[in-house]
Amino acid sequence: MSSNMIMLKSSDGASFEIEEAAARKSKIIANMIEVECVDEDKAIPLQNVTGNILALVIEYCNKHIVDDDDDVATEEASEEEEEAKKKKVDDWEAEFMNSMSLETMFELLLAANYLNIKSLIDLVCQTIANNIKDKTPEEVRKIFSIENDFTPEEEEEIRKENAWAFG
Amino acid sequence: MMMLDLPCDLVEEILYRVPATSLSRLKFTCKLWNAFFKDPEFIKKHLDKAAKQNLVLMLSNFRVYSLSVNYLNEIQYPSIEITSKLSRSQNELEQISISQVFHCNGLLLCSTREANKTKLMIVNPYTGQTRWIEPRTVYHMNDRYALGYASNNNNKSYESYKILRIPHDHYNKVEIFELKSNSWRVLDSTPHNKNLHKYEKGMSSLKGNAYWILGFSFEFRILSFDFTTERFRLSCFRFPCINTTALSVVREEKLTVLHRNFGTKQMEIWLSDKIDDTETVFSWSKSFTLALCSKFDHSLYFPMSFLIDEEKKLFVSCGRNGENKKNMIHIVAEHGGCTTFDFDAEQSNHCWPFLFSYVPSLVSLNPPM
Repeated sequence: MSSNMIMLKSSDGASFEIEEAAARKSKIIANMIEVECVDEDKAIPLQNVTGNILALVIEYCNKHIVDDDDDVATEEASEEEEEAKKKKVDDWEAEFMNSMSLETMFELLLAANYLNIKSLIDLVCQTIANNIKDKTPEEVRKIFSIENDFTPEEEEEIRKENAWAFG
Repeated sequence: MMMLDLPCDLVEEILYRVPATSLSRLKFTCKLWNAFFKDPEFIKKHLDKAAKQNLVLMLSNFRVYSLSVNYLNEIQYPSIEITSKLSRSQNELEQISISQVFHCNGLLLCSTREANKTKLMIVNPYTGQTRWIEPRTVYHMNDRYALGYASNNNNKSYESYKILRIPHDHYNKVEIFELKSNSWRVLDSTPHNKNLHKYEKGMSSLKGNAYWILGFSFEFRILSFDFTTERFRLSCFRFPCINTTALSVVREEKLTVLHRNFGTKQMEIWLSDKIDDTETVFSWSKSFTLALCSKFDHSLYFPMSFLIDEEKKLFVSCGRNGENKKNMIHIVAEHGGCTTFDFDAEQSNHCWPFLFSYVPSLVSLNPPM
């Protein structure tokens, strides 16, 4: 069965062809398809997503559409098969995120949020979390463009709150 | 390079997934983040979404230590070192002696001894918050305490933390303290009241409920207390009394029982099925058997508590040497590697060594959750 193809257009004018089933990973696009405001000849314009980020989103959706199909088809899959499959997806995701810069991750997260792709939001958030967990407040402020709004006295006050600790 | 600004809800989504020990440091980032980490809604979502960090803590000689267990590779023996001690940064001179400790969701319920008076304190070492709990009447040194929470299965919330007090004798009634209402009440129905005080070991918390081993005349059984329904439950699984047993929790998912028969040089580790929030019956299966090495094969060594690593087939136990009264830690690997550590010498029968796994959290005591 060949599935319908639809066109997506990024904010910088790049067009991408994607299987409808893959595009439906995005709740926003799925809704558009439901209410039939998708013209088969016209591309769906995505104002907030640039071409290079949209390419990543599509790569992710294409990979995961296969997994969803498998879930339906193999209800009786053994526990080992399930685990092996999960590991394959995990490995792919790790590889997918591995070479990405923090800047790209932020852009991808905004795109996933705009397109409402929950599993991709989870994946990017977890990767950023792993990235910042060993950083100092100073380093984290730079990453998130945050000003330190504590006075030294206020900082001291918080340290005092931490009366009991492992030290 | 220019980083994009993320909306607040996405920043929160990221922070839900940062481990509690890191957030404890990152609260100095800015006032907004510091406020996030104190918000009960944030704390609940963080409990659900952050990967669990399993630390190893040990109570020994009235102090709680954080340990780093370096598991063995192919050539090396395992090692243990003390990384830190739970203490109060202000008032270094004022020593508080902790004689009992119970862990639940990152909170430590500590029974303390000060000038022969028993007090009860809850502390979250990663937020620094503490709360002293006043008794309904009076605490006794040999009371047992457990901390748990009533859970609402529908919205997976962690409503209402409670303390269970099992008095040292059966003339006194079992009591419940609710952190939100800040008050004690007597629990009316306690079917196992007469047996509650006989013998117990390894009180552990799993999914908000408390489990421990109870000794009867000829057998050990597992008793649990459900903090949601406030009922005790006696498991059907029995161990003969001639053996030594201890109870522990694996990855906050399963119960495990250590079973040592003094007649053999072997120790069996039994595992329960995964226990979900509503589980009433659990089934048991033998996970692995450890051959005791000569160092461990001391008939006077009594394991008090233990931890296992299912995958590495590794076993860590603490106990007391019956001869020299020293607290000890043993690490035993299935293939036979075994290391022993003498912990500390000067001991008291009012503080038995207790090894347990600890999962840091941001759970708040003020306001109580």
